[in-house]
Amino acid sequence: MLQYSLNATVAKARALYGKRLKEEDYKELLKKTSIAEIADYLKRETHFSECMSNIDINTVHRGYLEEILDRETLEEYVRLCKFQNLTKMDFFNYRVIINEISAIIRCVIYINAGHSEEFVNTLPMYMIQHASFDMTKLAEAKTYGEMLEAIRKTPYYDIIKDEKPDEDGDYDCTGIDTKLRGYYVGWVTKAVKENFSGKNAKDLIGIISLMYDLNNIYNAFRFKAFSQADESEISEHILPVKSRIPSHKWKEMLNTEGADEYVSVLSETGFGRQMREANPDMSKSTIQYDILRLKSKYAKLYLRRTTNAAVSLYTILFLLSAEVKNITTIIEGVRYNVSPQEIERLLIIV
Amino acid sequence: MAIEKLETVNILCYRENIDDVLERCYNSECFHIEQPEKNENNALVVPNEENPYIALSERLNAFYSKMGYDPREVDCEDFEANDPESIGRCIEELGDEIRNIKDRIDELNEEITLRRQVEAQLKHLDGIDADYQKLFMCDNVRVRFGRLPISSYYKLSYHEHEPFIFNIYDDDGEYYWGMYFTTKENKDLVDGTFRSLYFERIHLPDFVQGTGKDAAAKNSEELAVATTERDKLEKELHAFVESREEYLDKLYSKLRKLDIAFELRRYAGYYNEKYVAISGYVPKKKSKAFKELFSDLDTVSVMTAPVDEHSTPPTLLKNNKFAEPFSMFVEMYGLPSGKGYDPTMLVAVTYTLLFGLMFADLGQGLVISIAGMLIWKLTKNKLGAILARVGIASAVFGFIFGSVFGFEELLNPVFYAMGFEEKPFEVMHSINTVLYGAIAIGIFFIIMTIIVNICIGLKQKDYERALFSNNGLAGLVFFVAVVGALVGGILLKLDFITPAYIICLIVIPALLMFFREPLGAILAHKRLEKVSLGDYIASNFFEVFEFALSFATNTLSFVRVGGFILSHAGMMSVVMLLAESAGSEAARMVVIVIGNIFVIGMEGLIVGIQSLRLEFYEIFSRFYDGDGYPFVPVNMRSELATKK
Repeated sequence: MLQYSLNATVAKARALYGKRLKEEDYKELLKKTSIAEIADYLKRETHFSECMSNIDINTVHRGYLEEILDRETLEEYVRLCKFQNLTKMDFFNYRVIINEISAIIRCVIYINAGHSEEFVNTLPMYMIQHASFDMTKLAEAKTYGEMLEAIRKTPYYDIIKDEKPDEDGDYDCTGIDTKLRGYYVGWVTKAVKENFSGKNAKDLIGIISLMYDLNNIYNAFRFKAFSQADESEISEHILPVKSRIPSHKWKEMLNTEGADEYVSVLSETGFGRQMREANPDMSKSTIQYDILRLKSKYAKLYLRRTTNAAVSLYTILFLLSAEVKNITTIIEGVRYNVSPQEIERLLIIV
Repeated sequence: MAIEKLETVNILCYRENIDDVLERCYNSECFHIEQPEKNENNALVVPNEENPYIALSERLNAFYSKMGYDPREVDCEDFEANDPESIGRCIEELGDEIRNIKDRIDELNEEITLRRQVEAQLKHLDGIDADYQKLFMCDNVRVRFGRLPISSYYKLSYHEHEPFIFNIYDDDGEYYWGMYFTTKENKDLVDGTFRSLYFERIHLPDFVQGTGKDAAAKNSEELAVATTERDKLEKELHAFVESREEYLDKLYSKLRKLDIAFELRRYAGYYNEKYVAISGYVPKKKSKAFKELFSDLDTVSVMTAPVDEHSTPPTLLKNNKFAEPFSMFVEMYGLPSGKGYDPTMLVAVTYTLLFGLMFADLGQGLVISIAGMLIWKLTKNKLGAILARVGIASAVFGFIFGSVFGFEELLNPVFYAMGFEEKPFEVMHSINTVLYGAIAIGIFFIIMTIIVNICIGLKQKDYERALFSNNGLAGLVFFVAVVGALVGGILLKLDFITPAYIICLIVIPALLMFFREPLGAILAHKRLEKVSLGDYIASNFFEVFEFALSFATNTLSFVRVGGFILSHAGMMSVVMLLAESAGSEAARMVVIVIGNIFVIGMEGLIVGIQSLRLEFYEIFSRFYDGDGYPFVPVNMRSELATKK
């Protein structure tokens, strides 16, 4: 339980948010025509200057640039946590759990695809350093069994050890994803209850549930868009968080015929109305960004209002990650000659 | 009220006179020009011409910047070029004169940049003891120079089944510099692997030949040759600039003048392609002199008139020497409206009093005052002038409290000479008096600011604000009655709190505040905005409750005045205690001097900020809108525009 004021952490998180890339920065970045120009701007004009100090803007690899920005985001978070010694509390390791789960799921995808040796290339060093188990063993895994062996001493092992391959020898990545993320929701709820109480716990659960509520909406959309899954099948993959969408509306959304109708019903809900307000052209092709935009809006709102260090750290990490995603979108857009107008449409600026 | 009275000015002239008229406005240094409003009948058209001098200015500035020349503004009446074409020709001719030399400098700069880049790369590869070009010429082996992020290096072990050798020659903390070899057949596979590990390949230019060391030595040699030649040419360019300095300054000044004059055209409105109208404001006392400026132009008509009640004029503050520096605080909060009330004098007096009270020390006050004067003299920073004034107030209150650099008894002989039997006011022995006094000051300030607000409201015929608001008559009666009841009835035990007192002086004013919006609307003969009764009652109930609370908190906020009087005395007594515990007389003096410097620095800053806080939160919030915009004579505006 917290015994002292963490207002300084809240203030630091807000100060960090104050240094974020602003609309005018994105406008400048959209004018750039090469990765070198983007890197140059980031190095000279933004809070990424320090982490890019050793980078040669003329030769830096696009992927490495993105990795540096991702690493910086996580390191900013770790610095904030260490500022008032918050790393001692379980909750603040939530990002590590999320990264570990992502790595396991990615590893299974590469094993299914028969390219397990390529998985290691997607594993950043900083993730390995911050993991609770030896991720290099995960990188060496060539089969599902070897993967299980790499995570044997972790809580993830029991959750996915009984998974069976289908007739093609592939493992159900979606099912594994749902189980592991379900574990995460349970873990984070328990950690919040153990580390916080009263309003602090309520606020934290509030923002986490909200984010997962929106994740559920997107996951259900993907089922509608990419498979013919019915209500019961989708419901199995919905994470157990309290939704702001009334249950009858959820039912209606899950029973729609395809992605277009799903988006149409969604836009009748409170979330949907907010998304449409931000993007009047909301459609199945933009829904991913509309949901991310709404999440960012809520994160910003919570960060502004909160006096709770955990909420401020949770939201600032989300906003910093969204910022890196924006930069990645611009880098990829420039790399593949997408028009600045089109790239701008995909940016999350709240 | 210290706002300069202004008059509106309307100038009508022929279109061909526009530049002349605008130049006279510019030279008058007292004309605030306003954008003409577009006429509904299209009788008045705001011109939308593109300023041709902007591009020319950019060209010339870029040109001067390349030459490393910083032009000065000089008299340019005799400079013949007077339009965009001729100015453009001047720039062109100037360019022709130095084109060859400048182009060669640019070429050399490019070469120097490339060679420096190569130098940095070769520094990391100088461990390679083989000829670069020969390596590239191998038939069956492919070699790639470059750098691999250190975080990717460990991943190479996962690709050891692929046919490559990676040799490291250097590491800079972020990357390993080196090269990898692979076979001709496997180059696509290995290149793909290295790409996926973010290997940054370096393509060395053709001039890099020989082994690492040889190539680096040759490159340094060539770099030195290029740098020497570039430096020599730059000297030649410098000599050219020096010989044409006068011409360069005149060209710059002329272009700038033409640019400003053209920019000012945006403020003119055209009638029927023939007449031009310009409007704005001048200070009333200068309006006659301003008209005189155009007396020799028969075709120009200049009309001045008092500002009408529907216009919103700019604000030109006018204060006496004592109050003038405090306009900085007022502007920081927001400029008063041109027809409003300038609180600079009020701020000057109240800020000086509050600072003097909270930081009362004769010696330290004089030090602050002298330091302030020096800052003002040397830097013209208004804060210095403010310190010079508030320091005097500190000294005066320090004298009253009998404190000199923390010595509380030093002035006693003076008090005895003045007829006192003892020091008239001992701060640390009168804590209750100090705190009650601070609250009394707060009550006085609140009453004073409410009265100011009532006067402003009546002047603006805003009866809701003047009579029914919490800062109006109703609020004043309510506040005074509550304070009276607390002081007279509870502290002094006077028996005057009757039901009539409560109903007439507390309940009725509270009800008036509750119904301030409808009552204000009735007196102003305006329609009241429709709101539901429930909403109205709920929101106004809480607002009136908040008014009452804010009276209490605002009053108590002034306790800090007493708090700082005590803290100052407390801090100085600590300094004195430390001084007494010092061994020698010299050490004692050192402690006293350092202690005084510390207290002046730290407490002076805190008291300055707290006084400003009281001004902004407890005083300004009761009457001040700060919604004005500044009176800017056209010359200053143009300076700003050009700088921008």
